[in-house]
Amino acid sequence: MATTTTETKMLTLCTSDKQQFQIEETIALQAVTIRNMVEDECASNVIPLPNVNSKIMIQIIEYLKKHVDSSVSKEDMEKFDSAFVEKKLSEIFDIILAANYLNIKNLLDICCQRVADVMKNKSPEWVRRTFNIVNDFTAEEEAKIRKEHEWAFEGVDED
Amino acid sequence: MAKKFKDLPEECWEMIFNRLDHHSYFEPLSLVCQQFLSLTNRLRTRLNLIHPTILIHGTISKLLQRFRYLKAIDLSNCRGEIDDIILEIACSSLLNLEFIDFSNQKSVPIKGLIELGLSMKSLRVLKCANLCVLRNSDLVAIADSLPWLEELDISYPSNNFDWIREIDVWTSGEVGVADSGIEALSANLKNLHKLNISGNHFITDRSLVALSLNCLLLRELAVLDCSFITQNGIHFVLRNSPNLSSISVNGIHIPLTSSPFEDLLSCPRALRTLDFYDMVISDVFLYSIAKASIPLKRLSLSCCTNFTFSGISSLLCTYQSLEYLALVKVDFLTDQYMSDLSRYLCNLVTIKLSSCYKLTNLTFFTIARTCSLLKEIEMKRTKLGKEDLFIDFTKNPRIKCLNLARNPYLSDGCLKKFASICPNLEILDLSSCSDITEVGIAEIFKSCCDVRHVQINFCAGVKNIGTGSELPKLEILCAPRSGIANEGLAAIGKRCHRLLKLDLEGCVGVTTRVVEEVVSACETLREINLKGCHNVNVGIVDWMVFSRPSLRKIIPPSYSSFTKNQKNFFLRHGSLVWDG
Repeated sequence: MATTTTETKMLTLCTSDKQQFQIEETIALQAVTIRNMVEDECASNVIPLPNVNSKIMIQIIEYLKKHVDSSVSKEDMEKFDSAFVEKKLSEIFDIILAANYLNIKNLLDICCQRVADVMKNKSPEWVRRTFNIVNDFTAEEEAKIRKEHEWAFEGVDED
Repeated sequence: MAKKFKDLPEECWEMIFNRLDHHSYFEPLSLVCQQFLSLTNRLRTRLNLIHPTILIHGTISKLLQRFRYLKAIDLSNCRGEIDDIILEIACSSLLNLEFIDFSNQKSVPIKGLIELGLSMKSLRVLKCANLCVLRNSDLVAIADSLPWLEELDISYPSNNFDWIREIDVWTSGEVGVADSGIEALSANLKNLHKLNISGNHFITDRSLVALSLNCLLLRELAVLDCSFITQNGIHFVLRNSPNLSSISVNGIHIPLTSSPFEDLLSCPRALRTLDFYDMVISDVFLYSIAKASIPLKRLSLSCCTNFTFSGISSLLCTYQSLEYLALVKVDFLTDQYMSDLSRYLCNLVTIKLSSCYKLTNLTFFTIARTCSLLKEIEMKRTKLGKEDLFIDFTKNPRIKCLNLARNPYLSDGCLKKFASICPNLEILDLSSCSDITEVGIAEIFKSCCDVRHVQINFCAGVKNIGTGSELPKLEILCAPRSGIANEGLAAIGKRCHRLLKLDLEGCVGVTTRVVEEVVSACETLREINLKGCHNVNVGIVDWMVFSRPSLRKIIPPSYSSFTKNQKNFFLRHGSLVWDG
C-alpha cells in the first residue's frame, strides 16, 4: 500500500490566477486536453491552464476525483452529478467554458443538460432576462420571424 | 453575467440546444436574438407539416430554405396536394434529407417521387402507411425511382374497392398489393434493411421468399395481419435472411412439430427482436427459441395461447439480457409466477403486463424491486389494488413511465405506495381507474416532482390535483370526462404554469371565468380541449386566440360554433380552431 502511494505520479496545474494545484495524474488525465499535453510531452512539470480560474478549478477537481473512483456505484454517481449541477447559472456557464476547453465530455454533458432544462418551455423574454441577452432584432424583424414561425414547429416526434 | 453569455462559444450553445428533446422548444428560443435564430435554424432536423402550415404559408419552400439541414419531413398529418409538396422538396437544396413520411395520404405521389429520385440521393427512408390506395404499380414506381431506399413502410393501405363494380375483371395487383408487386420491389431495392408490409391482405409466402432471396441486408420485417402468410413463409425467412434481427408476426398457428427455430444452425444469428401477436404457440416452440442462442433483447408474446409457465420460464432463463418484455393477456400468469420470473429480468428496461388479469400489487412491488434498470411499466387491465399486504418496498429511481389505465381496484392508498417507489416518475396514465380520487393524485404530485405528463381520462373521482407548491415540470394534463370542476381547475391554474396541453373535454363543471384564469396563468399553453364543456361560453375562443398567442390548437365547447371564415381568421392569428 505504502509503495503505491509513493509511486503515484502527481501533476501540477496552474490556473489563470496563478494558483497551483497538485493532483494525481490519473485524475487529471480524464481531461482530454491535459492527456494530450502529457502524451505529447509538451507539458513540463507545471501545466498552465490560462482559461480556467482557481475557483472553477476547485469544482472541476472535485468532479474529476469523484469520477475516477471506480468503487462508486452508477446510481451514486448519478446522484453526485445531479447534486453537482445544482449551482448558480453563472457558475454553470464558467464550468461549461472550462470543461469545453479541458475537453471533459461527461461534465460538459451534465452542465449543458442543466442549462437546457432551465431554458426549456420558457418565453423569449424570460430567456433574455435570465441570461442577460440583448435583443438585437428590430421590432419589424421580430414580427416577421414570428409570422414565419407560425405552424413551423408543430407535431410530435415519434423518436 | 452579460460577459459570460458572450463568452460561451457557439459550439457550447449548440450542445445545450441539442439537449432540448423536441424542436417545439426551439420556437421561443429563435426569437431571443440573431445568434439563437441562426443556431435553431441550423440545428432543426425535423419538419412536421400540418394543414395550417400550408394554409398560412401557401408554399413550404421558405421553410425549406430556412431549415437547410433537415433530415426528416413528416407529411402524414397534411391534407392537400401532396404531389406539389413532394415536388417542392425535390427542387429544394436540402442536403441531408433522409426521411419522408407521407402516410395517411390518398395515394403514392408518383410524379414527385420520380423528381425526388433525380435529386435526393440522401433519402433512405420512406413511410407510406395507411394510404387510401396502394397497388403493385405504386410499388414498382417507388422501387424504380428510389432504388437505394433502406427502409420502407407500406403497411395497412385501406384500398376500398366499393367503386369497382366488376371486381372479377381486375387482378389482385391492380386493386391492391400482390406477390408480384413485392417481387418487383425486392428485385430493385437491394439495400432494404427494414420493411413493414403488414395489412396487405393479398400477399402470401411467395412475397417472403422473394424478400429473403433478394434483400440480403434485410434486418427488420413486420408482417402483421397478412392472412395468407403461414409458418412456412416465416420459416423460410428465418432460414434464408442471415442478417435478420427483428421479426413481427401474428395470427399464425405454429404446429407442435415444426418450429422455425428447430434447426439451430439455420436461424439468423443476429435475431434480437421477436414480436408475436395473437398466435397459437407451444412450449416446444418456446424451448426451441431458448435453444437457438440468439442475442435476444426484445420479446413480445401478446394475446398468444397454448403455452405454459414452463415454456416462458425456460425462455426467460436463457435470455437474461432481455431489455423489453411484453406478456400481454397471458391468462395463467400469477404473482407467484412473476416473482419466479423476475429473477431472470435484471436487465429489463420496459415491461408490459397488460390484461394479465391475475396480477396484483405484489407483481408491481416485485418487478420494481428486482429489475433495477426498469424505466417503463405498463399494467393496464390487471388486478392492481388487490392483495394489499404490506411489504417492505424499495425505491426505484429509474422508473419514469407508468401506464396503469383501466385498473378498477386501484386505490389512493396503492397510488401513494407506487408514488413513493417511483420518485422520478415523469409519465403517468391512470385513465379509467374509477377508484382514484384527488387524494391519490395529490400524493403523486407530492412525491414525484418530475412528473410532466398525466392522464386521468374518465377518472370521475378526481376532482382536484391538491394544493401545494408550483409544478414547473408538468406539461401535459389530460383530464377529459374526469371529475375536474371549477375548484380543481382553479388549483391547476395556480400550480401548473408550464402546461403545454390541457384537455378538459366533457368536464361540465368548469365555467368560463376559471378557464380564463388558467389560460391567463399558462404562458406557453399550446393546446386546449373544451369540447362538451357546456358551461363555458363559446365567446372564450375569440378571447383565447388574441390573449394567449402561444395557443395553436383550440377545441371549442360546442360543435360547429364557427364558420369557415371565422376559423380561417383565427388561423391567421395563429390558432387552429377545431370542430367541437
